[in-house]
Amino acid sequence: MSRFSTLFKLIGVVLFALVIGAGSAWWMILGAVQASGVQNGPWYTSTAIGSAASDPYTRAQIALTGLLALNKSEAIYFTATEDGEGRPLRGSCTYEVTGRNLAARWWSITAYGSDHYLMGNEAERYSYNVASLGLRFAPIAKWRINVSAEEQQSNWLPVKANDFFSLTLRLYNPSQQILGNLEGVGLPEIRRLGCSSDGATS
Amino acid sequence: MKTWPLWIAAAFVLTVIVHILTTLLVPPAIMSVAMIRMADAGAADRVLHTPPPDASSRTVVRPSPDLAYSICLFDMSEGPMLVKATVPDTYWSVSAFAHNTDNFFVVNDQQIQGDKLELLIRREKDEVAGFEGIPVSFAPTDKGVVLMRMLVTDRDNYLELDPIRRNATCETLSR
Repeated sequence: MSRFSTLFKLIGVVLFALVIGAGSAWWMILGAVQASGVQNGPWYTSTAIGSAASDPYTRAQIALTGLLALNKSEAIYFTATEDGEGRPLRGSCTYEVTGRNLAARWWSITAYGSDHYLMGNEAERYSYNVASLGLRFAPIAKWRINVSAEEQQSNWLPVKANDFFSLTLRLYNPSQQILGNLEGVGLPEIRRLGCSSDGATS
Repeated sequence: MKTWPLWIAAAFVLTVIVHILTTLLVPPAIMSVAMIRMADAGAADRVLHTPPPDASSRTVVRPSPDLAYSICLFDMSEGPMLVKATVPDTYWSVSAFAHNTDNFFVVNDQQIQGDKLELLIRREKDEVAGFEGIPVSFAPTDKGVVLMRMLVTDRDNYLELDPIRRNATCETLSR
């Protein structure tokens, strides 16, 4: 009886350690960049991306969600999983993303599905960038991208209707103006216009 | 004698160990999976040139659809790697990643003198003769990835630039 009791406790301890140990690690990893990084409106990033100085949780999250990302000397990656009012980005809603040109050699905005891969669409459109938005010859112009599962009249960035999605803003060779003020530099605004499921507008 | 305090202590210690191991092993495990996929796609013994990613691209998460990637795998236990490339007239960079995912080297087209790149990647302890004057980067782990990114603005631009990046070579130097 005593042997069974000991064995039972041993199995309990191992199961507890596996579930709580791995689960707590996973929870810390998935929130690492948002917890220790830089927040700017709905966008977040970390200056430790790709760096040997990054903490283990940030390194693990980048491995999961941005493997082979460059360090900040070459590129800054901002990610948004929520709109400007803190609501998760959903494919059943339509969003406008607006802004002005950014002080970097090259920048782009790309939409990813919840699996962190590009989402298939008939238009074969996965991103907009400084060139496709026509900003190379109109650097002070205001631009607008329409993010939606339903076709839009202009600058349509398609997403999947029944999925959450995220946006990544890549800035290659960002200026010192951006590198020195990641929390305050003007980044694109993300505004929800409406949702097909509940008809909500904002 | 009450043993439950010992069991609780054992559970706590084991939980901490599992937590630390999970956190530390995730990056190299994911890198290993990605490197196996890259090797299967042909990056094991040559430079693998891929077109700008689309929805079917599943080798690495969150690829940029505006970039054409060229990939080499290195294994310092087999010897240092000599990377040679012709620099195209667009944003272009060469970066190197350790097995723990750290980006330990990067250089872009605007930082290179002329239109040719030569780069020697080696372990710090290895001596390599005959390559004096070539920029050297020390790999912190034996295995890793060299990744070249080339910006393409549209299909015509891609067709124009693609032959230039295909001049790239990654040669493992015998000891």
